[in-house]
Amino acid sequence: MVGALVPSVRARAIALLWACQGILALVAAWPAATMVRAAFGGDPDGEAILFRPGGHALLMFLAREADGVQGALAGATVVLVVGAAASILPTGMLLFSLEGSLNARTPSSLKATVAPAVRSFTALAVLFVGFGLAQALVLGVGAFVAPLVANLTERGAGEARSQEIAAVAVAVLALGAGYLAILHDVACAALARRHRTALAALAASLATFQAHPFLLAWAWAWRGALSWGPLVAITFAPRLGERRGAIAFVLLVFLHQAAVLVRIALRASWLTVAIRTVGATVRAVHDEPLARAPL
Amino acid sequence: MQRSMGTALALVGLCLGTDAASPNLGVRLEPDAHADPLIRTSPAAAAPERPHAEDVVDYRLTARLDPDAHTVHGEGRIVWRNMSRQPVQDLWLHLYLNAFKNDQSVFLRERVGGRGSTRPSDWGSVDVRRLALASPDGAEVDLLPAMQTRGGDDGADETDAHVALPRKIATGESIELAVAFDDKLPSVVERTGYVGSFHMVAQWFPKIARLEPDGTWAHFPMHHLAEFYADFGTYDVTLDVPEAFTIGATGPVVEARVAGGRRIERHVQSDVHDFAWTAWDRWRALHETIAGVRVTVLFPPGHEHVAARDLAAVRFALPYEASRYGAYPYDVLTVVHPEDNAREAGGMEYPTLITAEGPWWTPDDVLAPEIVTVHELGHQWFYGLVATNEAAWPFLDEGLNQYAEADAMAAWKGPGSAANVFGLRVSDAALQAVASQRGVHDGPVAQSASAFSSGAKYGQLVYARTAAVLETLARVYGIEATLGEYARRFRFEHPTPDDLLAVVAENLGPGVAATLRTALFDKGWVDYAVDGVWSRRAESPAGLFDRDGRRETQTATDQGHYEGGATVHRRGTLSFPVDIELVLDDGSRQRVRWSGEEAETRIPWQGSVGLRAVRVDPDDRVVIDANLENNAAQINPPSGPAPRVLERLALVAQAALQWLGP
Repeated sequence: MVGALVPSVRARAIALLWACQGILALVAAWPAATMVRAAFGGDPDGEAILFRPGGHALLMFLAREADGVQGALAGATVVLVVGAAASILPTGMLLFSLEGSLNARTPSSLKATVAPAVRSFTALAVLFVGFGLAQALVLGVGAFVAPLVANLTERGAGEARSQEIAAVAVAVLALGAGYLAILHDVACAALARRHRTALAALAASLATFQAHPFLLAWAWAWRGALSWGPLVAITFAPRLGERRGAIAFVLLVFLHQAAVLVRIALRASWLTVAIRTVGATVRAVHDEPLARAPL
Repeated sequence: MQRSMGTALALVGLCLGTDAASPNLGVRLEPDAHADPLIRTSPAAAAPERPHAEDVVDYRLTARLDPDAHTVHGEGRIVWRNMSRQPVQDLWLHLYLNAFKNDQSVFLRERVGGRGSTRPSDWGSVDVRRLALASPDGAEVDLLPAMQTRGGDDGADETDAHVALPRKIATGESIELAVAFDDKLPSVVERTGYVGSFHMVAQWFPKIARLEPDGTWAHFPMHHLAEFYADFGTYDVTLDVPEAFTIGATGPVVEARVAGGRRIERHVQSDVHDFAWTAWDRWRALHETIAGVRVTVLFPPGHEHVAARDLAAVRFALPYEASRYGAYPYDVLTVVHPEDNAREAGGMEYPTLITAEGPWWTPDDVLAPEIVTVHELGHQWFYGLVATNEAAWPFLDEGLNQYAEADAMAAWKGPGSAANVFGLRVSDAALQAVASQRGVHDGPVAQSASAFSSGAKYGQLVYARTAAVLETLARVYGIEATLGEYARRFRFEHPTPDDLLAVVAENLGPGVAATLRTALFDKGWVDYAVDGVWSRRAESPAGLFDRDGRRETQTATDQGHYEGGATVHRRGTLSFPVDIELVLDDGSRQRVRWSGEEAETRIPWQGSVGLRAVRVDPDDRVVIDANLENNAAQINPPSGPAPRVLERLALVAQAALQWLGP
């Protein structure tokens, strides 16, 4: 009975995260969409005028309503930043649902994931902020190093080659940011494995990555790369958005949201690997020394 | 010269997909009404073309580059003819390179934004070492002591030199000058200079100002925003650079040799009014013959792809512009694509030599390199062949050429002629239209370059406003052939704004010419607005009526049809005829034409179907309309957010959340 229920809990956790993100996204997008309606609500074709080939009306709107657009953008940024922090909770619920599904124990329902997620909120937040700052630092170093490398090599290598060299330097730093992303996720997985503090989870994450670097890097990388695929394909599909009518619109919404769900599902899949790997590598006992375990 | 595309492209970086053209619901919907009208098909007028320019001034110069010291030593002879109606007893010489001699030059004092606003890290100058008037008997009169180089308000500028002559030069008489000069090139700034071993050598020799037919000299110091003006002639220039260097220059190579570790090339070109060249030991080259013209693209290592894009732009635009504005009369064209760190040398035009720009990694869907190349190529006509005074009337070259650029780009790339990103197609003309709204009330388009308060205003008015006004005239009246006739009629000439307006009046009527004059000289603007729309079931008269001494009460009865109407306003000082589209409750559409001459018109409606909405200028012909948000009105406008925009933006926000979140 519990075994049959567990996948459903995981699916519901995925759906919850998708719903939370969807609601936050709608809140972020609402002011700008309302501005467009206010500007072109009188047009018999409505907002379609914005997307006419050539982009005249769109550019005019952006220029005329620059202050409003800036305000909407600032508001959306606040919503997204706060929303990103707030989504720690549904992400925690997802983690605990995944952990439960792996061990066929608790939780038996989505509701049951709330308590451990709330308990782990502080630790998850510390990891989120800490790793976020570390990644920002790495990328900031990249932004500083790239022009430096380009300038140093330009005289001998020429502009194009020097910028390629700088791009390689940035790529190396981006790998560092990727490494931090993996450590973050594995640390979150360790929290789900009952490592109670952020520090303990970080230690578990480091030990797990040390033991299984290639497994983790590959599992993270291919899912990460694949998860952008549908979104990019749909976004760049040149004619997809040009279809008019309610059915085309509903189809577009469906495709977009399917792509978003696929991304969340792939992330859940990756976190499952992280939970399984961290569980197989270190013992999840608070305040006890880490010990290796067979994978 | 090309101004930056500015922030407009950045604005469209929003992740918005495209939506469709309108459905075919109208009863009289124009064929493909929402297709971008920028895709041109109309042929240009075939007016006769003057084969050659009047030969006023001939330069025979040698120039030796020292790439380590960044200096050029030049010497030679200049033959100048007085083609005016008056005898003259003086000359004016432009010494443009002195604009970078110190920060007291007019150019560097004016720094009002845009290119050239950063003080060069290494100064540049031109020192005239010898200036002598040759006599038929072989004797020479030294003119150097009579040369006054102090100009500007306080005499600190040295770009505009006056030379008193020992005798009067009669109408039609020629004189020969012997010159020698030394250039110190600045670190690259405003079209000229060096970066490392890259050298772009422009505005580099003492250049005789143009003498107008009435005997007045059109001379001026080099202003920050101004360009040039000169007479036509023949340039015979021998360039001497280190052997490892590749040269690109105005005109074809007629002699070339390598001797003593030096590469020596002689370039000769007639019917031009300037000469520029480049030398670099890293140039790569692409060659192709296009429409009978030998085209060379010089580009840095690693820039192969963007150079190929430059060449593709020339491949399209050279025959296209020739069909529009007359044949390209030269045998060669050189496109110089500098590295991005020398972009101050990029985006510039000289006779048979243009400079392109754009980083090597510019995405294919962002057409900035193509736009710059097409723009500079267009200057071969509007600047090169139609040689207007760029300092006095910059709109005549930059503005007309900006229109020509957008026109050519539209013909080549359609509605995505500036960018095609995220499925969103942005046209070059739309960018001009939007930019043209800024500053329209701040000053006229038609004024001298030095009269503009900032580089931004100069760009918005001279470039964008002129282009958008002409685009509107093209869409409303079809001005393309008229511009073609203007370009042909004034080929190898120096026309003024009045000449342009006269051709417009002749071809399209005095009303259109007056509109153009108002737009250019009087800050003309226009805004069409639908201010009200109504519709209801038609009913018989109701109320109390006194008939035959009796008062009757009459109740309304349905007449079986609808009645309604709309009020449309035209605000501003310009007027254009426009279509007004009536959208009915059953989705069908009808159009009426309004002359647009009055400030207001009322459109009545009566029919079996109710009126739902009204839109003015549905085909977006008046691209200078100041506000598109008031161009339509509905009886029952929907409320709430715009669904497609909401959906697209929410998708972007979801992606951002997934990227930002834990």
